[in-house]
Amino acid sequence: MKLFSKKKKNFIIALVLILIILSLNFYQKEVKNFFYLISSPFQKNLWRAGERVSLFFETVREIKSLKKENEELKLKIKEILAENLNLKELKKENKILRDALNIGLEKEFNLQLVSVIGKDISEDFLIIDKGSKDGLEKNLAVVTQQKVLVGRISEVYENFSKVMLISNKRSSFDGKISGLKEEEIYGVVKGGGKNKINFESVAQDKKVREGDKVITSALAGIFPSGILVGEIKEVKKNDVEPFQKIEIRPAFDLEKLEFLFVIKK
Amino acid sequence: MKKVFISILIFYILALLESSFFVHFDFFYSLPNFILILVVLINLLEKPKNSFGLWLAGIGGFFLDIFSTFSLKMDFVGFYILFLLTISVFIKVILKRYVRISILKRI
Repeated sequence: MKLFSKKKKNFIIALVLILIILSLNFYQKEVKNFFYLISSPFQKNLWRAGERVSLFFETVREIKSLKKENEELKLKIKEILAENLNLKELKKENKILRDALNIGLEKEFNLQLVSVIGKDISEDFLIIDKGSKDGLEKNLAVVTQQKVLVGRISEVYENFSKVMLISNKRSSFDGKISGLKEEEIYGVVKGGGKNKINFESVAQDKKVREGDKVITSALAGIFPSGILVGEIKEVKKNDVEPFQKIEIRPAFDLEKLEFLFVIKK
Repeated sequence: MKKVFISILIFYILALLESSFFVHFDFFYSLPNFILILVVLINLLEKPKNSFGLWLAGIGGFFLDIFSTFSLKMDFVGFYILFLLTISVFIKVILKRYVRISILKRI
């Protein structure tokens, strides 16, 4: 004989379960603590594994956006580098202008700052970045910020000009040796090609020493007087010839020419 | 009895996975409740006469109560047990009264 019918049995089970659940609430902290305690080692490992796996999927998902971001950043770096270079150039230009101001070049002449964009050393030509648009004309003198003569403008284009160096074979003008107490020695400064300059038409009896400074004279015509050309490098005397053979060392370093001034009339 | 122990183990592992592993794969800040899904599926698939689904609801609900942080602002162990049991009973009643052919057979 059955002690309880099926319905009663189910009812009793349900009642017992409800009582167990309710009683769990009285000790819920202890119960939860127990489960957390025994599960924490597994939970820690699962947490780490989950983190790693999700990170992997996230990376895979983000590769596309990262690629795009990377390209954008690369572009930005290029822009910043270009800006940085520009600023460096400006700084250099600023320094040169300051130097020029210090030696009072701007008080003597109406100057135009130009930068060298091309060189033809074998032909003794330079190309500068200013042209007729900036008011440059043919035959204007070109000097460095230290007031050293470099050459003259031989051709003018709209946005750039060609400068013929004083060492060019076609270049020739009057010069004199400066700082002499005795009589002044005048001569013709003539380009010898390939960065060589000669001081010609100096009579044999004139005393020219190595290291003497040569400047432009008032007779130079296209060049203002008193601009440094260079110093005497070598003097060769030959009784057979009427004039001395004198070589001038240019006062500018062709390799280092970057910024120049054009003396406007 | 063996079936009950195996289900306890499975639900325990599921609860652990859900609270520690799957939380890292939330889609739009929500995560499917695997225990709930399993309980509903078993109740749908087993014969309405069987009571195994109800046992599973109790076990699953218990682990959800322990490991779930959702508590309707009250710290009450038993919320999920009652919730899953209610769902299981509801499914069984519906299946018993309104569905003549077993879902498994229909599939």
